[in-house]
Amino acid sequence: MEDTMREYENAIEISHLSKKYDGFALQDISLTVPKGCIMGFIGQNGAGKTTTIRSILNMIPLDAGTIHVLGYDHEKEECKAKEHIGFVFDEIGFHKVLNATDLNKMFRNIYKNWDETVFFQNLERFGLPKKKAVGKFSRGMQMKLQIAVALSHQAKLLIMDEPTSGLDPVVRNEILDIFLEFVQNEEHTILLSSHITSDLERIADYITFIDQGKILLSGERISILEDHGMIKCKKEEVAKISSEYIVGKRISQFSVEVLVKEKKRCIQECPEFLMEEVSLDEIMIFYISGSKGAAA
Amino acid sequence: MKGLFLKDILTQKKQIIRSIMGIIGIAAFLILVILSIYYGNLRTALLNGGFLEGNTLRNMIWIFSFVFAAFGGIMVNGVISASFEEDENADFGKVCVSLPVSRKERVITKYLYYFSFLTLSFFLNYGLQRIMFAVAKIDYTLECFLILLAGFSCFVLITLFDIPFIYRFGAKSRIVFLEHIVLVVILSVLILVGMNFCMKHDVSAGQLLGVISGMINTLAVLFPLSLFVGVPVSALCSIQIQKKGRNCIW
Repeated sequence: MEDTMREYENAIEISHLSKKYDGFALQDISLTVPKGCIMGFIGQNGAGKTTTIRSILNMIPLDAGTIHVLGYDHEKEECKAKEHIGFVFDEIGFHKVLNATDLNKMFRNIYKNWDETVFFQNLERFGLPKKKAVGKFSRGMQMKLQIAVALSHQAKLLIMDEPTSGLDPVVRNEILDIFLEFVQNEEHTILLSSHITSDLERIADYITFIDQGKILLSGERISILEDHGMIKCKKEEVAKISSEYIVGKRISQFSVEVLVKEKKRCIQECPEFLMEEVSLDEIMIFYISGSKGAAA
Repeated sequence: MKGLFLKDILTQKKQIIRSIMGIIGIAAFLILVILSIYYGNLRTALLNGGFLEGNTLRNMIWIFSFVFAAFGGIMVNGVISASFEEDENADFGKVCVSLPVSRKERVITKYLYYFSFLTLSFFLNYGLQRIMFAVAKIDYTLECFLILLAGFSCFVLITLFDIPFIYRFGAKSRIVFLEHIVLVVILSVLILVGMNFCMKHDVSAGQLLGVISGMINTLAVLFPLSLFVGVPVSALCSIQIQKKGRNCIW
């Protein structure tokens, strides 16, 4: 029986989330993932990505803030929300002795909307055996199995924690194609936590960048890339760039690389410099070094 | 809830079969011992030593019966501990929290799983105990049934302590192992103190039997009590531990 879903505009709405641990804190995190998009959640290890996902999962009690997932309160309506969410983790969490047929038996008794026909179709499509124990699957096969499960209960939202890390480029590519196909339906949304920025450059519509428990940057991927640029100049020329544009600097022996934001305004003010395109990777590195510099 | 229950059964198929085979194996061994006491070499040996007289045979079979029942309890304890361990090894906790199953349901499923195997093991033991007594040509009385209850009772109580501990510290935690050691030490000390008391005060065999019989009765009474009071209390503790996020998972 398919249960009726609540109307919602944003698949995930996190508002003023705070959570303090010894030596680490999520500080006033506010994040919105619009329906029908892929949101890339990037940051280095220990930045707070997994803690944020744990909070969405209602695994940890929050110190402050609210979370709504698919229009449901993440705490009070946890089970209703999870009925429509598919999770893919960096490491498979299924028992190694079980096979895909066993998993089907298990999940059809857990998800109301579990569709075993879709599940077995997905297995066939991904080339996964039905009777082989999960423990004997390769890493790529294990990720695909998790995705097959996530796609077989009519999930509206996929939350993934590092799903492509440790995979070879061919399998990574295949998996990214599956994600792109999933969001063809405008009701479907993906939150993809990763530090492989090249994957996100390929598929993400939005990017949120978290560091040391704070969101440094969040917005449309294209706008972020268009808004940032790299200036390569001599050390003595850096002073000509207004500090309000400078995100971070990389100083070598003879020259300086400066990552700037508000690229168009910056280039109007300093037309003598050549502005180069930047990748998400570079943006991430410069923001981290910039924030460390600011902290120091 | 049904899905998680099914998962436990599917992952532990081998373990469960092993446990049932273990119970049957021990029963077969005990039946052989009893047959030997009646008709075989063991009878000759015991008679030659002047050991087999009066109610001794009956008492021995009662002791076997108690040990056998306790073994059933250990097996069930093993099944439930292994189920937690399997979850931990697979890192199933993170999958579990992503499912549309509440924390309360997750805990209740484990207790239902335990309860199911306890029931299965209990009836299996009961059936085999009847066979054992029939082989020994001893009437099956209420006392015999109380021995079965007492044997199970020990390990039901231990398991009811174990489960909240596992939820708090994890199945592989040494704390659960430590808890077992502490229980064994306490029991050993109690037995030693009891034996010392008996020797000092020249307690007769009849009186001692009375004390043992009283202990067995107490344990037997504790069995239904632990099921109907202990299980809900233990489950409530586990649910509270889960709610506070102090679980071993992820």
